[in-house]
Amino acid sequence: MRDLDVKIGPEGDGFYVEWSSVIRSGGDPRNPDVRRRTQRMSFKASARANVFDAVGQQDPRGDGLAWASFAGQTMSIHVMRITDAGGYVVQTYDRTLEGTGMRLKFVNVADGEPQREVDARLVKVGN
Amino acid sequence: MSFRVRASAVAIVGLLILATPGARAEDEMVKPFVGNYVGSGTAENMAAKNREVRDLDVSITPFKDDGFTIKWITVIRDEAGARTDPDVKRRLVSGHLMPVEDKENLFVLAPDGGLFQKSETPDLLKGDAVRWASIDGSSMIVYSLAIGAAGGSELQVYRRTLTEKGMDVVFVRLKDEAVVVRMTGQLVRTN
Repeated sequence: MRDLDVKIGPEGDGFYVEWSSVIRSGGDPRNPDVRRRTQRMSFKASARANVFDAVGQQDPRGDGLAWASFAGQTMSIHVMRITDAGGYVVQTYDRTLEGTGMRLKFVNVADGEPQREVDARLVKVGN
Repeated sequence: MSFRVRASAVAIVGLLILATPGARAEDEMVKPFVGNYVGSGTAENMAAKNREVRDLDVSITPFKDDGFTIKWITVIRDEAGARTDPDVKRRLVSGHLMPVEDKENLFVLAPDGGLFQKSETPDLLKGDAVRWASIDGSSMIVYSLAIGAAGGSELQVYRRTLTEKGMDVVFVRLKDEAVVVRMTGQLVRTN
């Protein structure tokens, strides 16, 4: 079980996305271990109308090669990394606006096989 | 005096050996793949729900000291499985791949450029594909990543495994997480 928190706002000629996951697992079931992980990415406009370039993330062997794309009500963030074995991992976060907030679908594909999928719903709490 | 000369010569030889072990390892890794191959394969196109026969031509040659050049031509036959109708397609891909300094089995696309041309690295956001390769024993795997028209990821993976006669190839094209084309084929080594 994860608690998710996402903030999206304008930045320069693009935008930023900051997201946190609170993971409760392990330890005493009445008092589980809690881990919080926060990531922030900034995106700037590119020559393509529906594609934004992730600032400082152009190295597939380091932090990853990342970009964002828009299709209708869905904003997708893609992060690709080359693994130590020479293969690859592509992580895709699809965030789709819905009536009361947002639906998140996360897929992690490694060497052609989906490894992990997360499907979650978020409620909008502020502008 | 003669001792000193000998000692210096030994030191120089030692340095040369120390400076090139990576290069030699990569050279040895690439060597078995060098050659020309022809063959054919059958591709399953999940989107079009059809099968295609493809003629395959692959050549691998050494590039600089420890890299390689790979060139492959794919002829996608017409609906009747022949090469006579206008819906025959021919695709040619080639690239020079150079080893990565700190990884023995990883090769990245060498930037285009030459003596009189500015060297350019591929730009994913301008529509270029990012290509790299790895060698895993008798398999050479070439990857190509591009951003598709809708902004998602488009990956092509070619796994070429050496066989007694030549090589087997398994090709997969993925659009985001979905496999859209899968091909298997066999090629023979030619001289």
